[in-house]
Amino acid sequence: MKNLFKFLTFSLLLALITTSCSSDDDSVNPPVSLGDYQNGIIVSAEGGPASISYISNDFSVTENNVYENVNGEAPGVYLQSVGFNGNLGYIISDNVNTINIVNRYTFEKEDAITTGLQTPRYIGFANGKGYVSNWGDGVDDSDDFIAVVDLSTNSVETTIPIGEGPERVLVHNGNVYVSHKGGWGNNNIISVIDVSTNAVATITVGDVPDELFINNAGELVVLSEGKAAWTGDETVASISKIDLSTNTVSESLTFANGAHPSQMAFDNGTIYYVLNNEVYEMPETVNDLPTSSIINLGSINTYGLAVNNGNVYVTDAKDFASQGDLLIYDINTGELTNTFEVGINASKVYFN
Amino acid sequence: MKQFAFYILVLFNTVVWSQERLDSLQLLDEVVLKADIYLKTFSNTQSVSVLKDSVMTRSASSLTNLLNYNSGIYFKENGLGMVSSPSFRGTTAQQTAVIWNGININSQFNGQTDFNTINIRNFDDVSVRSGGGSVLYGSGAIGGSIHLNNELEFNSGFENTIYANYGSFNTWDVGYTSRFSTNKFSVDIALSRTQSDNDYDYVDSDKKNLNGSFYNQSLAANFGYKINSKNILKLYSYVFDGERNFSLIFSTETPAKYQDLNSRTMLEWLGNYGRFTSTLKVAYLTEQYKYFPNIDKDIHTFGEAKTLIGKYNLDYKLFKNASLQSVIDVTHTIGEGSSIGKTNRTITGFSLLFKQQLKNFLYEATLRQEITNNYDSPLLYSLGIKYKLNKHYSILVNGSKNFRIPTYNDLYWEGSGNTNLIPETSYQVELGQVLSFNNFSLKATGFYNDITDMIRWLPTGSLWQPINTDHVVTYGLESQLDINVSLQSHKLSFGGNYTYTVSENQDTNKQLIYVPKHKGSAMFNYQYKRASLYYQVLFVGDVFTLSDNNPKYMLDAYTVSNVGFEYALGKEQQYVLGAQAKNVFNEDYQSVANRFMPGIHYNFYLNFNF
Repeated sequence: MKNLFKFLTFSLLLALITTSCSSDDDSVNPPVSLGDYQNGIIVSAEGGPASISYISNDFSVTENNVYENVNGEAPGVYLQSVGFNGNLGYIISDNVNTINIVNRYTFEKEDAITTGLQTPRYIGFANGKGYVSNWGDGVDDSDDFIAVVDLSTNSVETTIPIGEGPERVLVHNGNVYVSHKGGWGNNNIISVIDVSTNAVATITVGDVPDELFINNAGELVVLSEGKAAWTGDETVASISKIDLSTNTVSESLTFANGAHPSQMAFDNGTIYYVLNNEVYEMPETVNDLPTSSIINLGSINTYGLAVNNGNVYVTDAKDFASQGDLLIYDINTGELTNTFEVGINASKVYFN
Repeated sequence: MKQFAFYILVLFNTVVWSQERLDSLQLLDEVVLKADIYLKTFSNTQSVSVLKDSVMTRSASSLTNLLNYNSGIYFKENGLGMVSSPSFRGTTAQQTAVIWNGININSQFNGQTDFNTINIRNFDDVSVRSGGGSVLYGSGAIGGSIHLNNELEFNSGFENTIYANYGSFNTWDVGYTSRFSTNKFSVDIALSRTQSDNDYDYVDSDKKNLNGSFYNQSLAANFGYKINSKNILKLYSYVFDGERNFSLIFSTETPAKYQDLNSRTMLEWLGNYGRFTSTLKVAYLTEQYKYFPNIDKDIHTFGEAKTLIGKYNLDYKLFKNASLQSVIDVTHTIGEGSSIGKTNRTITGFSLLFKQQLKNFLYEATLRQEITNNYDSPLLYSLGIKYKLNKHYSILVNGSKNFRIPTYNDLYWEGSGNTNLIPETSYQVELGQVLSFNNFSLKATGFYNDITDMIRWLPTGSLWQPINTDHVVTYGLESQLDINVSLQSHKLSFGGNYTYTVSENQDTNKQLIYVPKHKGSAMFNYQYKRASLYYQVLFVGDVFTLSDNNPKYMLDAYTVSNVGFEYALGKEQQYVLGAQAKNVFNEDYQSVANRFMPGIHYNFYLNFNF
C-alpha cells in the first residue's frame, strides 16, 4: 500500500514534469536570457584605455568595449581584474582606486566603490563581504592592506593591514588566502585571514607567489615565479602545495635555475602554466614537473592564460600599445583554433 | 604722501636719466655677443628661425606654448602645463635637442627635455634650427634643435623691465629683467615666476582639471668682461626650480606631484688673435627630479645628475672667406637615482669644421667622433651647400649623419638597463629654398630622414628592457611665410608655419603614434600707431594613439584661436598693456588622450621698460 502510494505520487510527478516539458517544447519562447553577455567569454584589458570584451561561447557574437558601450563611461585604468559574485561583477581598476560593480550578464553599472581603496588588485567573497587586496602606495612597503567591503552597502567597513604587495585573493572554508607577489618589490608569503576574527597568519613560500587555487585533495597550490635575474638575487621558481590543516608547505616542485614560469591555471584536475612562451600541463597528482610543453605560443607577448572545456585561452598584448588578441588553442591538438581582437593589454579571461 | 611723492620723483628722474644715457651712448657701437656661435657660423645651409621679444611677450611663459604657436614642431602635452614632449619632423622626444647657450641640456636620465620646465622669460631669444646637428650640438639633434640664448650687450646702458601677466585659473607670470653695460662690462639678470591653480573646466563636460596646479621660478644671471681688446670673459648661469601636481584623468586617482631643480653655469673665455679665434668653455650642469606618487606623503623616487663639460674651440681663418675649426670636448657625468646606482660616464669628442664662401656659393662640412667606454660611437658628419641664385632666391642643400645616445635610464636602470645598446643613428638629407623680398619671405624645406636602431623598451620575459629595434623613416615638408606691409601708420604682418610629416615604422608601415601629418600655425598682426590687434591660430591634424593605427583610438584634429590687443603708453611707449582671449572659439580638444585642454580663457599683461 505504501509502495503503491509512492508509485502513484511518482507517476503524478513524472506526468507533471512531462507535461510541463512538452508544453515548453511546444512554445516558441527561448530560455530566459539574463543579459547580452551571458554564455560567453569575458576578457578584461588593463589599458589604457581599459576595456571589457565579450565573445559568445559559439564565437558568433563578439563585442569590444562592452562596459563603455553599456554605461557610456570608461572603466578606469588600469583594469586589473574582475571578481564575480552571484549576478554581480566587480571590476577593479587599480590606478583609479575604484571598483565598478555591474550586473555580470548585462554589464549595467549598479554601483561603485570609490573610497577606502588604494591600488586595489583582486577581490574574493565570503559571508556577504568582499575582501580586496590593496598595495597602498607602490613605493611604501608598509601600507598594504585588505579592504573588507560590506556587500550590502558597497562600502569599505574595515581594513586589515597585511604584508607588502598582496595580489590574488582566494576564499576557502572561511579563510581568505592572499598571495603576496610583492607589488613594486618582491615578497614570499601567503596571508591567511580568518574571516570570523580577521586574524592574519602567514605561510612562507617561494619568492614572488602569484596564482593560487585549491586542488581536489583540498590543498592550496601556489605558483611562485622566483626572483628574476635582474634583482641581483635570482631565486628558483616553484609550485608549492600547502596543507591547510597545518598551514605548512607539504610539497614543493622547483624549477631549474633561471626558469621563471607564470600564468598558472587549473582545470579538471590539471595544472597549466606558461614558461618561455610555451604552455605546460601536469596532472595535479603528479610530483614531477613536465619536460615537454603542449603548446608553443611562438613570439607573442603572453599576458594572460585560462583553461576551460578543452580549450586554452591566451592573451597576446602585442607591443603593449595596440589592441591585443585572444588566442584559443585546442588542448588536445595544441592547434590554434581561433583568434579574436580584444582590448589593449588584455590580461584576464573569465567564463560567464 | 610726501614720501610717495619723493619716490615718484626719484623714479621719474631715474627713468629720464637712463633714457638720456642710452641716447648718448648710442654714439658708440653696441656689441652683442652670443655664446651659441654655431648658429651664426655653421648653420648657413639649414633653416634657423629666431623668436624674439615681440613674439615671446605674447606667448605664455612655457617653451611649449611659444613653439607650438610659432614653429612647425608638434607637442603632446599631458594637459596644460603638464609633461610636454615635442615631435620635430616626425621624430621622438629624444630626437630633439635643447641647447642652452650652446650646451646640450637634454636630461641624462630620459634623453629629452620637458618643454614645460623651461620658462622662456629668462632668455633673449629662442631659435629653432631644423634638421640634423649632432656634430655641433651632440645627442638628440636629429629632428632639430631648440636654442635658448642669452645675449651679452656692451655699450647699451641701463635697461630694466618689469612685467606681470595675470589670467584665468589664477595664473601669474611675473618677473624682472635688468641689463647694465659699459664698453668693458656687461650684466644681464632675469628673474621670473609662473604659477597657476590650473583648475580649468573641461569644455562640453561637467568635469574639471583636478590636481593640475604648478609653479616654477627661475633666475638667469650673465656677466661679460672685456679684459682687453683681444680677450673677453663671459659667465652664464641659470637656476630653475619647479613643482607640478600631475593632473588626474579620473577623480579617484591618487594625486601625484613632480619637482625639478636644474642649474647651469658656464664660464667662457673668448680670444681673438688675428687669424685665430680661441674659445674655452667650462660648464657645470646639475639636474634633479623627485616624483611623489602621493602628494600627501614624503615618499618619492628621484634622479640626480651632475655634468662637467670642458670644450676648446680653435677657429683659424685659412684665407679671406674660409675658416677651419677644430674642437675638443670632454663631458663627464655622475648620475644616480632610486633605480640607478651611482654611475660615471665620460665622453670625449673631436670635431673638425670647415666653411668657405665663394661669391654666391657657400659650403660647409663638419666631422665629429666621440669616444666613450659605454658604447660604440659612430662617426658623425654633415655637408651643406648654399647657392644664392640672385638677390632674392637661395637654395640650400644639407645632408648629415646624426645620433641619439643611450641615456642613463637605458643603460643603467636597475636590472633592466642594457649596456649593449648602441646609439640611434639617422641619415638625412634636405633641400631648402628661400625666397625673400623686403616685405615678404618664404622658406620651404623638403626633408628625408632614415633613423635606425631606435631604442624601445620591450618585455623580455617578465622584464622590460631597452633594445635597439625600430627603423623609422620620416619625410615631409616644412614651410614658413612672413609678410609685412606698412601703409602710413598702419602696419600689417603675417607669419605662418605649415608642416607635412610622414613618420613610418618600417616594420609595420604604420605612422608613429602622436605624430600628426598636418600642423600649421599663424599670427596676423595689425598695428595702428600705439595699438595692435592680433589673431593667432594653431591647427593640429589627427593623431594615432595606438601603434596599430586603430582609427577608433585616434585623436581628432583641432584648431585653437587666440586674439589679443596691445597698447603702448608713455612718451617713449615704455608701458605696454595687453589683453588676450585664448581659445576664443572654445574648442574642445585633447593633445594627449583624455587630457583635455582648457576652453576660452583670458590673460592680461603689463610690460614696463625703464
